[in-house]
Amino acid sequence: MLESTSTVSPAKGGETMPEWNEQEFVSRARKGDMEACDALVRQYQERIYATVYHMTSNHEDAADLAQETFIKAFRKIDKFKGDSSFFTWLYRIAVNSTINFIRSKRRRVILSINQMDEEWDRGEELLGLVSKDTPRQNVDRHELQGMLNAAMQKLSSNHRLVVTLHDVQGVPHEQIGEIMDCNTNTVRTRLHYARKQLQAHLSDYLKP
Amino acid sequence: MEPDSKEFDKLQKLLASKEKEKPEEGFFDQFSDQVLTRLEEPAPKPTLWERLNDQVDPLRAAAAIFAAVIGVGVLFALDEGSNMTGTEPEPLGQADEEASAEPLGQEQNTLAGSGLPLNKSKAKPPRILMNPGTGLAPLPAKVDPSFYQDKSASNTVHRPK
Repeated sequence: MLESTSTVSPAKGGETMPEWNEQEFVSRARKGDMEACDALVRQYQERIYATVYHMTSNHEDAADLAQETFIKAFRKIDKFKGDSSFFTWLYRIAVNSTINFIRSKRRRVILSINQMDEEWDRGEELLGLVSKDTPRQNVDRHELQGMLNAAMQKLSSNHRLVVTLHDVQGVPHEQIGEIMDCNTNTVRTRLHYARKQLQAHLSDYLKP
Repeated sequence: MEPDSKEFDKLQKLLASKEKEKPEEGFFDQFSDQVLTRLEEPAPKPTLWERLNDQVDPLRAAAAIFAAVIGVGVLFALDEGSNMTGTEPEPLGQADEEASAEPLGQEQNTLAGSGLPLNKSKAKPPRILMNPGTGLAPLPAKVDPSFYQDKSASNTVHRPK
């Protein structure tokens, strides 16, 4: 799903560029080429924003932190040694900034819910996941989204991160290990406990 | 299917549905411009902690601190050793006796109960105790011969004349 050097073009309103070569854009960005910086931002902005948003459950915080991630990355691009892909390095900056932010703002948690995609906007598919035999059967889509985000916020930042990266964004275990600087088994264990906790928090909605 | 696995399946679908949550339309069209505008602004002066973080490798810093602690420890140990060889040998148990001789609650360097200052110089055992016989000249004893006379039989009282 996430590739370091891919031929996928930077996403900008469906436009396609002839070839996407991450290394070339990174070396150009190192020399201060703003066009290369722009291309790198457009390539990764949605995934970085989504990670931060699912970690904070707040649009304003996510927008600020995502911007900060790119600014930090370009200011320190000389320190990028190329041991991992640029995207993994970028992810690491985003994750560290977000975890620091969460720690500093622990007492102030304001949740805001982004809009669903148009095809999901009716929420029927989402609501279909709620059991018909529970006291919560009359839940609406917003309430369900809110409950899910609130349950996510109850997890520790490491547990929230593995759930966000794996279950929401589909990042493979190995890459999560690289991002979080831990081995794959640790990732699996964290994921297991995080899901258990989420199941417990959402048991009223998920009972079969 | 087990109820638990059904629940788990629903949870995964619910989490996957979060990917459909998007910011308002047009947000990503402006995002890159906002980043680049902020990038052209002068960077804020890094704090001391940030500068240290950037310039010092934490592993090397830890190794240096460890080496410094070991170095100081070795110097301290060597210094202690040289002090020990420089002092005169003390009789066994002497120091303990001195320490325990002081009454409890007594203010240091004062006589018990009187508050009078004690002599600050460290008490040393008499040299004769350390090496019996040293410092004494072999002198002949001067004894009055009358001292040895048996006076018990006479039962007389000697009065000074």
